[in-house]
Amino acid sequence: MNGYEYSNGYGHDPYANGDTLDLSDDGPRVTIRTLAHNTIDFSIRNTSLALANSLRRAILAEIPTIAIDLVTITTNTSVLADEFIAHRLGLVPLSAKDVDKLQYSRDCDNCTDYCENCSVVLTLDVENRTSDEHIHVFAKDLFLSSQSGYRPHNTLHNSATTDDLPEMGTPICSDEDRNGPLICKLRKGQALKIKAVAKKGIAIEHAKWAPTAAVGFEYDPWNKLRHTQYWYEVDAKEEWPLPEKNGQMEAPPQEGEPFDYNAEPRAFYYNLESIGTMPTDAIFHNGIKVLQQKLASVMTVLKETSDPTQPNEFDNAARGGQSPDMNGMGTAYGGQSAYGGRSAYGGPVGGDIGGMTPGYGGQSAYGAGGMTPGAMPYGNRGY
Amino acid sequence: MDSSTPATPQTRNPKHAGSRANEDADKPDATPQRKSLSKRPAEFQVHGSYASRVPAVRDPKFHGSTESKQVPAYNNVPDRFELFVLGEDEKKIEYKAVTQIANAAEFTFNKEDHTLANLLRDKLFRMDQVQFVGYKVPHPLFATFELRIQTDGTISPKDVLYKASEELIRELATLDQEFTKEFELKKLAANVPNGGMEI
Repeated sequence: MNGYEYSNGYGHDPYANGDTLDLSDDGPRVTIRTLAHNTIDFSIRNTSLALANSLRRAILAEIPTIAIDLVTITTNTSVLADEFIAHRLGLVPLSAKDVDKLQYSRDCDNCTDYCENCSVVLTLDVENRTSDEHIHVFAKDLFLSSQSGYRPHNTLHNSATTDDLPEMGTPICSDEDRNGPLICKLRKGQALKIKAVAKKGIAIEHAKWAPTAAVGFEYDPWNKLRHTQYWYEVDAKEEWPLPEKNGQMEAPPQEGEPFDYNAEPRAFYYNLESIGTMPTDAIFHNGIKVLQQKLASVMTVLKETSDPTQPNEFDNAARGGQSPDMNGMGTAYGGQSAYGGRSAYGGPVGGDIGGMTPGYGGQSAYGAGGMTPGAMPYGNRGY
Repeated sequence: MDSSTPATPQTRNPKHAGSRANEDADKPDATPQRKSLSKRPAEFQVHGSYASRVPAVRDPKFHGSTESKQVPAYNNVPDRFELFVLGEDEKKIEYKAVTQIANAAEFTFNKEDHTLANLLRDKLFRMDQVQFVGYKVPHPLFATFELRIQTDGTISPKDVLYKASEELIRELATLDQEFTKEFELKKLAANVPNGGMEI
């Protein structure tokens, strides 16, 4: 089911979105150009370059997915080394369905190493006992241990449009033969038996956790903003090709057109390609969610320190010592573990507390360790 | 444990799992030089499978594969997760008021990078009450940045940062909605031939 191509060469009609004209909203606008089974070609208008870029960065690096992270090798008589095979197993794409319900292993309270709440166990047990031809061990040979022998039927699903992903942790096999990536080959008599534990993670930690194959990103295809300068031998206009796809969305510069020095980048063209572990639109939504969570955690930290009803360390110093008070902290956003207590700038609302340098050890005594409550070497105020 | 056999013809039946100690003698194409394992002198006998003698998980604190050969390892490469997991005694945001100028403050964000920094910086820059905003990443090896904000006095740096975050969350939510709207529209169009139009 191939995508619907928006082939208006004169650019996009800004009022084509939805039935109502949201002229009162000055917010961002989205236009999807192409929708293929794993790719979405779209553009965002009416935002800043910073937001567009931060979204791109979040999509590439910080969306939680699941991938094999721990391999126990019982038997490996193949020609590939243990760690070689373990590395390859880590790169096998696994379905990330409902992965937001999975705990990070390091945050999981239920266990010490790993358990059902924070991991998915897969097994692989292949031996070439009789065949003279080399057996190919594919990702499809990995079994979820929860399924005991039943192999899920990997259909070609339109993962850009429907969320019919297989169960979390199932290897994604998007090739024609539904084999999945090749892990290794076995000669007669060689065997490979492993147990693999897949955990939640993000691409910052290792690229195996990236849900995207690539994110194409461009703005100002005609270089009207002069953000770049084209290298040339004789004439830049003749040596460089014209921007084809994205150039159609914007008017090319006229011959004698003066340079608009007040113009800012306003339209950003994305080409988002998923690996298949999560639907492509889910990647976009999760990218936005990641950014929102970061901002929300900023707000949470700021808010609790400005709240005048909460005690701050200056009040407590005057009282002479108090017990550490965790003000309901401990929410784990994404990959962050709980951070302790309140920051050092808890003070009267709107008032600055003066020069508090971190070097004086004046960080909060709440749950952050470091200094004993009430120990203020230079007195209450930090002057 | 896996009672039903999968479709792959060569998958090993778990019942046949066992030690390799006796398999060498049966192989017709074994290298003539190598004696079968069972005929070796006692000190070279392999008792049980190889897997049981070597720890399944390599302890990163040691080099070497067997207990006798383990040498303590020295490694100063930090773990990758330290780029986004707060350390012990580390706070997400640290505040430092700038003494020389009124209504100015520096916020140090820990375990964050340009993704958040530039987003906040740009949003604050476009707010009228903000007179100065800038950020720097003091060192690329450490995931931390400092954001400096100076306001005109009508609002404190902390509050303007709070406000900027709030507005950004709203803007992102709008973007999310717009995308969903457009996506559903295109999905419908793709599922119906000719975009739903009558020929």
